[in-house]
This record gives sequence, C-alpha cells and structure tokens, in this order.
Amino acid sequence: MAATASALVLAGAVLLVAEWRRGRRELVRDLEALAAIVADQTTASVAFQDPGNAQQILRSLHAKEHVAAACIYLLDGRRFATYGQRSKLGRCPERVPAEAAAGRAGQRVAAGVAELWRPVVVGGHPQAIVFLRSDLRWLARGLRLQAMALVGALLLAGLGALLLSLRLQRIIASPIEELANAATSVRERGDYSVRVEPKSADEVGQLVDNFNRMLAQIQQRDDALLATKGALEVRVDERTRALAEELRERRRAEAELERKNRDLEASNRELDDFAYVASHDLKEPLRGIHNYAGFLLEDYQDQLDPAGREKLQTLMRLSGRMESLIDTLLHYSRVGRVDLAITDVDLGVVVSELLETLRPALAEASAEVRVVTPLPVVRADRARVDEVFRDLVVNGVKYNDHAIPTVEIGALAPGSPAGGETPPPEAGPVFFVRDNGIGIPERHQQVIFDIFKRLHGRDAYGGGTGAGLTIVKKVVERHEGRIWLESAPGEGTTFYFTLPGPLNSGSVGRGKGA
Amino acid sequence: MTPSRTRAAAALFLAATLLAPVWGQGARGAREYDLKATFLFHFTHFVEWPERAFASAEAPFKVCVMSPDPFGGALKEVVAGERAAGRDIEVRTVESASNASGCQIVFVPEQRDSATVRDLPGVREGLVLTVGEKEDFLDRGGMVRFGLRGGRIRLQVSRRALGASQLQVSSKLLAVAEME
Repeated sequence: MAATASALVLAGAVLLVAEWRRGRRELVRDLEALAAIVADQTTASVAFQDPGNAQQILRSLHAKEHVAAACIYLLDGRRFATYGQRSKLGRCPERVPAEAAAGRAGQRVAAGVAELWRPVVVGGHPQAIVFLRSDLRWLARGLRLQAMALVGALLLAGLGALLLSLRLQRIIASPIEELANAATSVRERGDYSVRVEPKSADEVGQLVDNFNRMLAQIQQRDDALLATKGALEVRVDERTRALAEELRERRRAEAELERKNRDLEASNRELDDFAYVASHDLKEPLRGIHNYAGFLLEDYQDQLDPAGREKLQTLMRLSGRMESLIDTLLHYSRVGRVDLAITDVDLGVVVSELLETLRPALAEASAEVRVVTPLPVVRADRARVDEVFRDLVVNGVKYNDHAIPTVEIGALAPGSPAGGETPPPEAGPVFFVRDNGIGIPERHQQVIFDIFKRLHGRDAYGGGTGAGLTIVKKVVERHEGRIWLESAPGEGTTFYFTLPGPLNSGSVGRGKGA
Repeated sequence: MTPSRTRAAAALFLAATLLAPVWGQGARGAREYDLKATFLFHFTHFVEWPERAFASAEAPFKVCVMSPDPFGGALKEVVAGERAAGRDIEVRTVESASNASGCQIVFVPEQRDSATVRDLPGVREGLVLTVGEKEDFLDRGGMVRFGLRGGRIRLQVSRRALGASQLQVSSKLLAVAEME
C-alpha cells in the first residue's frame, strides 16, 4: 500500500515535472510563433514609421495571458512600441541584448521568465526588434491546478485501493491466513486431523478444499504407516526371539558335542593307558605262571604221569600264547600312544631295504615280490611305515595257495581312483600292495581290521595273533591316511592306502606316481 | 572585427543616419526626402506588380522620379545593391509623362501638377504605382500620397485608384495608411 502510494506520488511528481517542462517548451514555442507573427505584422509599421499601428498590434497580445510584456525596438535601441501587463514583469528592458541589436533571433529562459527576440525584416534587412516576455508563473498556476487534481486522484485511488484491499482481505487473505495457521499447527504438532472450514466456492475455496483433502490423505497414510510399523516391529521381535532361541540351542548342542568329544578323548586315553598298564602288569604274573609251570615240569618230571605232564605243557603253551597276546596288545597300544617321528621318508629305499631283510623268508616260500612303480617320498614315521609294508607283504605271501605267491607294490598319483574309491588329492599318493592270495570274502572285509580277529584256525596259514591289520590300520590313520581293500576269493587281494606327501608335495608325488 | 559585428555596426549606422533626425526633429528637416526615398523603396516590399507590368523577364524594376528630383542622390543611395520583385532596381528622372514608360513606381513631386498622373503610360492599365505629394494628388487619380500629420510623414492611400489598378497591395501597408 505504502509502496503503491509512494510509486503513485513519484509518478505524479515525474508527471508534473514532465508537464512543467512540456508546458515551458510549448510556451516558448507559442512565444516564438507570436514573435514571428508580430514581426511579420509590424513590418509595415516599422517600414513606414507608424508606431501607433505597431502599438495596436502589440495590444492584441492581450489575449495571450502569459505574455507579460512585448516591445519593438529600433536598431539604435529606442523603443518603437510597447505593451505590458500591470506587473513588475510588464516593463520592457531599457536595452535589448547585443545579439538582438545585431538583428539575430534569440531567447532566454530564466526562473519564472521566458524572453525571446526576433528581428523585424523588411526587404531582407532587419529593421527592428520584437521583444516578448512570458510570465512562467502563469504556467505554474496551471500546473498547480494539475497537481491538485493529481493529488485528488491519488487520494481517491488510495481510498478505492483501501476499500478493495479490505474486501480482498475478506475474500482471499483471511482464508489463506487460516490455511497458514492450519499448516503451522500440522508442522508443529504433527496433527493431521486439523481441517480448515471452506467459506467460498471460488479458487480460494478450492485451495482450502484441496488442502483438507491432502491432510486427510496424509493422515490416512500416516495411520497405515503406523500400523505397518507396529506389525513389523512385532514380527521382528518374534523373529529375533526365535533366532536367539535357535542360537542358544545351537550353542548348547555345540557345548554338548565338545563335552562329549572331550569325554571320548579322555576315555580313549584312559583306555589306552588301561590297556598298556593292564597288559604290562599282567605280563609279570603270567611270566611267573609260565616259569613255575616249567619248574614243575622239570623238577617233578618223575612224579608226574603222562597226563599230568601233558596238562602242564598245555598250561605253558597257553601262558606263552597269552604273553604273545599281551605283547601284541602292548605293541598296539604303543602305536596309539607314542608320538610319531615324522620325517621325509623315501619309500623306494624303505621298501627295497624291507625286501632285503625278508629275502630268506620269501625265498623259503618261493614268493615273488615286485615293485611295479617308482615309490615317492612321504612325510611319515619310517619305522611305522616299514611295519605297514612288512605286514601287508607278509600277509600276501602267508595267505596264499599258489605255488609261487606273488606280491606287487606300487604307487598312484594323489587323487587317483583305486579299488572303487577316489581319495581327495590332498590325502597324498595312493599306495597299493596286491597279492594273488586266497582273497577275502565280501562279508569279512569289514572285520579283518578288528583286533585279534582271525578268519582261519589258530594255526592255519602260519598262525598269528590277528592284530597285524589292526596295527596297519592304526598306523595309516595316525598318519591322517585311509586304508581300504579290494578282494575276490581265489583271485587275490589288493590293499590301498594313502600317506601324506612331502610338504612341497604335489608335483613330486605325482611325477613319481605317473 | 567579425562579420556579424560589421553588419551590426552597418545597420546601426544606417538606422542612425536614416531615421534618427526625422524622429528627433520632425519630417521637415533636411533629411525629409531621405525618409521619403526609403519609403518609396519600401513600397516594393508591400506591393505586387503583375508580370506584364515589366517589358521583359530581364527588364529592371524602374523607379521614376519626375523632375525636379527632390531626393538628390538619396533615392539612388537607398536602392543601391537592392532588388525588387526579383529584379535590379533602376532609378530614373523623367521630364514628362510620356518619358515615363515602363516605370513600376512614378514619384510626382510637389512642384508637378497632379493631373500629370493620368497621362503616365501604364496608369490606364493599372500597372503603375503612383506616389505624389500635392494636396490634390489623390483626387486627381494618384494612388499614394506622402502627407504630414503631427510632424510625421503619413501615408494616404486612394482606395478607388488602388482598386482600379492591377496592383496587389499588402494589408499591412493599408494598416499604416490613411484611406481616402
């Protein structure tokens, strides 16, 4: 409002200034025209020296209110004719400007006054000078009137604008203010239930309507969101609880498993200890029984009848057998208890040395033992590995009906399929010991590794305690290896087992096994 | 001196020499005929002659003064270098009316009979502006008379003679003249 008013006032001021300038310009132009007319009309007066006529012509300027004074000067400066209003501007100057005296036109616009002079030309020669003076205050009077009209118009327009703005306030501003208040309360309190009462059906009414609708939608969505959020939280809680329960369960199971493992290890250790202690401690009295049976047989030979002697001999045989069983048991438990002396072991050397020591026995049995592939280096306990090959070779020759028992020793590359199984490559090279012996029926293949298990009569096939394969298995397993077999009765048996390759394994084992 | 200053000085000099004495001491001074000579020249600015008033397109504008010539050299001085109706101005002194053929302005001095006017060639056709001094000049057919009133030269004009002529006289001239 104030800006508009000041703009209007400014515009009015500019208008007035422009009007003043325009008026002054027009006044000067009017004055020029009047001067031209007077100069033309007074040519004869000047030419024929008739000041009365000139005076008359000047008097006609009376019709022009702004002309305060008008005079005609002769070229020598004397006044020829004069006219003037009754004011201090109504008196012509005593003398005209020099340029006017020289017959040239000119003008001077000063504060409140516009003066102008024109030559009166007769026959091409300036003969006199017309001087006119305008009172610009007259212009100011007109302008003052205009200014007053302008101020009046301004006041009227201001009043109109005020009334209009009051009306607009009612129609537009107050509903919008309500809208703003509602928006503020929504923002500050998050209360979407606020509504603005629509007052009209026009655009503002529509705006209010849309605002309300928008609020309703937001409220709806907010509620839905809250509900979803609640449900989601419940579900998350349930899931979290279930997971926690599951976790606890699993931990419990793990703890249980660990405990059982520990128990198992402990009982295994106890068992080994027990076996060792028992067998070690059993040997002592057994030796006594054996010795005393021998003493009886020697010292009381004469007092015993043949049946008594036979019974004592049986006692000695049984106790000897028991001692060998206990020795085997001790041996077995040592294999399980004693730490392995792991080194790089060249099996080629081991096997060839083994065969050297076995040569007499093999020759006696007319057996033939062949190493069919180069044998690699492994990480193992040399003495134990020697035992494995020894037992397997001896078994292959022992349980054999052929005239020439034959045993083949060889190695396959790590990961090679053998005997229906395929060990993982990291298990190391696969060794085999194959004989053409009596074979093992399918149903016995699982029990041959059990301790003291013999498939044949006590003394058949050279006898034995039945712990060889048990110890072989134990040795292989202590080397992280596996042992299995492939056999068909009457055709022979092949034992396969893995031993770990050297630390920089792979290529060495594979190269030699190829 | 700049050219404008020169012209201003010349104009002042002219005004001073021509007008000042008349104003100051009345028409009856030594310079009376200087003023009348100027007036005669000024008539060429307020009167229009028809083309047939001139013998040819090149013919000069002739101002004829019947003898005795009262101007001395004044008239010739006034018109020197001036032109009228786009022509050079020629001043002639004539003895008799019959000698005044081809004149656009004929001045009849005090000493001559006003009736002479009727005999001037071209007057009947209305092609000559006749200017005289005698009291009865206008009554005898003259057009303009230099009269005297209040010590000043006043133009007196015969409405009848002018109306009968082919000359176009400016209303401005008529405005400063007494109509008879």
